[in-house]
Amino acid sequence: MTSLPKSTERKLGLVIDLDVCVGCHACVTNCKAWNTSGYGAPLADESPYGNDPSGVWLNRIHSFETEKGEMNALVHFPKSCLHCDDAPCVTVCPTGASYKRVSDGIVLVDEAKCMGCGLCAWACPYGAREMDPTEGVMKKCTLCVDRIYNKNLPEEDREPACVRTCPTNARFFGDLSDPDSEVSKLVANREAVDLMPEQETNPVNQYLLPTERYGAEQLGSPDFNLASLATQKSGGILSWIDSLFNGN
Amino acid sequence: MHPAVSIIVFSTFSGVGFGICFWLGVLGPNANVQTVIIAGFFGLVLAVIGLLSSLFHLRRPARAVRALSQWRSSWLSREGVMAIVTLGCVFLFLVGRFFNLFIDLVTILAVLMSLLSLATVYSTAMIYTQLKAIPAWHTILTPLVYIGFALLSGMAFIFSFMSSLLGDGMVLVNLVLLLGSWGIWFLWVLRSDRIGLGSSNVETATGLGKFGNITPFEPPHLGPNYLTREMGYTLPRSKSRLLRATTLTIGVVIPLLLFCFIFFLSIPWLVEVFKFLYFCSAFAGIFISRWLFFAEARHTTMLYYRKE
Repeated sequence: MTSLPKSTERKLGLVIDLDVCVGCHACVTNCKAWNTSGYGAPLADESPYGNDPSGVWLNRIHSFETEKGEMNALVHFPKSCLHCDDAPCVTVCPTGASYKRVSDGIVLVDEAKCMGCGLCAWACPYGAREMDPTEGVMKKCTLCVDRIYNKNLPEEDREPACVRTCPTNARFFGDLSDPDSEVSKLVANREAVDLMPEQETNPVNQYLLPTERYGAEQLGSPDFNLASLATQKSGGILSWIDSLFNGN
Repeated sequence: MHPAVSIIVFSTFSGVGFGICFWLGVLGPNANVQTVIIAGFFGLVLAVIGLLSSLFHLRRPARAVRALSQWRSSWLSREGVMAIVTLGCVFLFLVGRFFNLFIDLVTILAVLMSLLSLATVYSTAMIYTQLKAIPAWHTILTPLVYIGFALLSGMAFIFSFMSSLLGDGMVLVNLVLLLGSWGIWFLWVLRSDRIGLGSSNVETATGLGKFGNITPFEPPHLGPNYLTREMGYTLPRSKSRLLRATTLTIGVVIPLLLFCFIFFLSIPWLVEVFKFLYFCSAFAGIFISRWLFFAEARHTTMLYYRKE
């Protein structure tokens, strides 16, 4: 049944730290690598090279410019399925292919039942679902359901591919219904937000906002001299050689 | 949203088909058998053409029968179930009238098929109305527009080809339907222009609102993807105005003019030609408006991809 469960025993999900993400696309690449050979049909790459590359990805990195006062900052913004508690993609499914698991809250597609109508992708306000052009079924983030419970993998690898590969530790995986979990503590200690709360989807994944340095109050103030950061403070022979090249 | 022909044909053809079935339920129990059977046949055929067309939207049409299973939660599933039940009811009604069988039941079947036809068109509209991510569709006006146009096109079909089914009062019904359904459409358009993406914007989409104005900087990749192809369709404003004017001209102005000709002309064959044109024009207007329904709809996903 594509009705949503009243509650789930756990709420597995991701916490993404926008303060730390550098937009390197490692999570995107590892997600594609794992999921093209893991759960369900391979992720299509209709046209990986050339002038008009196209393919299916379960995780994509956007970037946004913030503007406050005179200062702008760039925020790298990874986006994948948020495994919403009130997932609109599940209830619209006519075939019973889309479902949310009671045991851990993961939203999945049963690819053997999907008829490829695409209505779930329309229902998702975040654009987290993509139709596979070769298989004709809907693909989405599985939270690497074939990794996190996989006893054949070493314990440290039993987390989603995107989390495992992130070189800056911007991504965390855990049970957001457990107040003592690492992810819940991060959410409690940092400023965490739901994406598009007005859509009433109650996303499980949380985004940690950049800390105030992105607000750039300091940098924007006329008293703050950016050049002072670059002023040479050293002396001695190296400084003398340096000054020869810099012409001062 | 990408205006897929298969879906536009689905909703307009099943609309006119079930519209004819609705009116047949109202007018048919006591009317001339031959006319009722022909009208019923066209109602069934048009509805089936629409339903078959929806299969062309599926990537895995062989699994379509599964779509009937989730009627408890999914409007798309309900639409499929309702359509099949309605078609069955219409078929029974026609059999009853043709063979003069179960005469007592025929009146009940007629009422039932009118109600079921309305319920089916309502379910069709709810497939789109339920989508909160497309605020322009998420209103009670959407099912009203769908039902209005189904009743109008069904009535126009009967008026054009089987006017013997209609009494004198039905001329007025035709005019009321024509002006009423397009009136609702006009309200729908006014609302959709005003609502835009509702309370969603790039600040809520990213959660970065406290950092001031947010602008999409780089998309994840330079080319299009499934999401931008499916949800990123945009119609330039000038084109939208032109198409709206065209819709109103073909859907309202020309049918009204033809209506006048039909009543003031006394050349029988010319009247028949104008009646034919009346239906074609009214239906073409509805078809273009349905194309616009998709082409002009904006989806919140695009907030991540471009300045909306």
